[in-house]
Amino acid sequence: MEELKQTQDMDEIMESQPWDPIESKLVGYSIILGIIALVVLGFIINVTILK
Amino acid sequence: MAERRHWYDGMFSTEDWWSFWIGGFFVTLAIIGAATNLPLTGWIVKFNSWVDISKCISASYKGLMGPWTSLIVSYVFFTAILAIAGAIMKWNLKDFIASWTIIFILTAIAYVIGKNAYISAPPNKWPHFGITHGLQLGGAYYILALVIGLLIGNFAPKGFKEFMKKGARPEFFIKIAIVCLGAKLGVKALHSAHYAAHLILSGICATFAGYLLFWPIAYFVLRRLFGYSREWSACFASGVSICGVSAAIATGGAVKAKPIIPILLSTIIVIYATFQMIVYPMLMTKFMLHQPIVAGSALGLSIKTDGADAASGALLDEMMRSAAQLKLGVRWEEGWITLSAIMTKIWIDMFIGVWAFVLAYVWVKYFEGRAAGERVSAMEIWFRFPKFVLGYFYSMLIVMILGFGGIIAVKPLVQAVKPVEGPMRHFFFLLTFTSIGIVTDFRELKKAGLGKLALAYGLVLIGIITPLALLIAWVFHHGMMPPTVK
Repeated sequence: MEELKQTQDMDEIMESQPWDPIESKLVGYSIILGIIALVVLGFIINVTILK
Repeated sequence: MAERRHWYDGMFSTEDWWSFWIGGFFVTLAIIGAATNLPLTGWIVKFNSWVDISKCISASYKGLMGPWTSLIVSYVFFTAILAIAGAIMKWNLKDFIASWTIIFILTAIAYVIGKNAYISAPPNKWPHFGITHGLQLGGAYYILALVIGLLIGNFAPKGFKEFMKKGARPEFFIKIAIVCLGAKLGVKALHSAHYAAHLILSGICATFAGYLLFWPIAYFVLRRLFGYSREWSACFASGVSICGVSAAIATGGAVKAKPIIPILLSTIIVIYATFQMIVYPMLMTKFMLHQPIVAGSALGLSIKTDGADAASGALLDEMMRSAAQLKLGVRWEEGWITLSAIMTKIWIDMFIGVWAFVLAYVWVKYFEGRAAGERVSAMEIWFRFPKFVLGYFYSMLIVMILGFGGIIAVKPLVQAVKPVEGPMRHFFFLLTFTSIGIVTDFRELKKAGLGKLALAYGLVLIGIITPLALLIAWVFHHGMMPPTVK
């Protein structure tokens, strides 16, 4: 019985949801910001500290 | 109605806060000792390299007491402090003390064996010990402690294993060690202020870029390629890309995921971290010997539990310094590689609060359809903030302020802090290794039926996060070398 309940719980938490267009936007914005941060901060650290 | 939380909640009821209190207490004790010329921390047991076993341990201040007395006093003192914390946190003290005692003894044995000069001494130390050959396995004691722990965690009878878990508290031990490490950074800054500042700045920048890249990529992979829900994917992304268990838990709270999600993820996170802790230092020593600080920082960015990261940083430090001496003919100062691993991780930990706040905001605004005008409290950042980090900065800043300000002369200050940032920190690192082994049961994955998730985690961690971590670490740390021993 407990095993059945556990399986139901697992099914419930594994339930999927459709991909929302806003997720694409948020993921995209974060990656773009990350690349910008990598380039800009990398440049600053390279010319100030690692030169 | 939600329960109202205060800024001081958890101050005496969480391991996170208690690591701040305990680590801070020992650093303060050392500073009082420096100010009063009293050997308040000289009793802490120190494990030495040896060929004559009678010299394997000593008190941190030689001549203060005999080696066995120092070991017993250290056991009694550490046990008392941890027991006080445990009593206030309402642990089962009887079980904790019994289990902790066994862990203490096993860890001490692993430390003594691993410190044998034939096993760990580098070639330049051989004449000192009167030996002509050796394995040169710097850090062998870490592996030994881990193996002992893993044997218990995976092969001991279930009852004994569960009993040992009462005393095996890897996150607690490592956080205490990290607070002590703050004092080491303070001491190092007194000698090399510019280098320490550079390491801190590079670490912040690497962490910032890492957050913004790791998280969305991990989220995307789990959501789109593996088809998991938003809540699963968010907790997974935080776990694999930020800070393992605590980030998964913080994210679970922020996105209102079912509590079981971060718990199930924690198992996977800990098992992978154990694997990384063993394998990464070996690979990095082999392939990245010319970029030791990049390697250390990459560990901080890619290993997802504080314990495993700090422990692997210490292991990498030992292995790389031995290899550098052997292959490059240079002797690097001890601790800088460990610091680079921990520094990055410290920033990652600090940003958990901010990231949890951002996620809570995004979820409320876009996904949860809550009532219009519902706000996310800025206090969320404080609640998620890892408090042991405060201890780390307290230890670092107090040593720097007292030393740079000339309030206490540098020499006695460094001497008094040494037993805490050296022998005590090393021992708590080692306790972490033993404890990680004990709490890591490789069969748990199969039992929980999380094969697909474990596969996804491994794929993202090894195929995406690790290469990106290496790239980011290289961008922000390339060419940085630990100072050499003068």
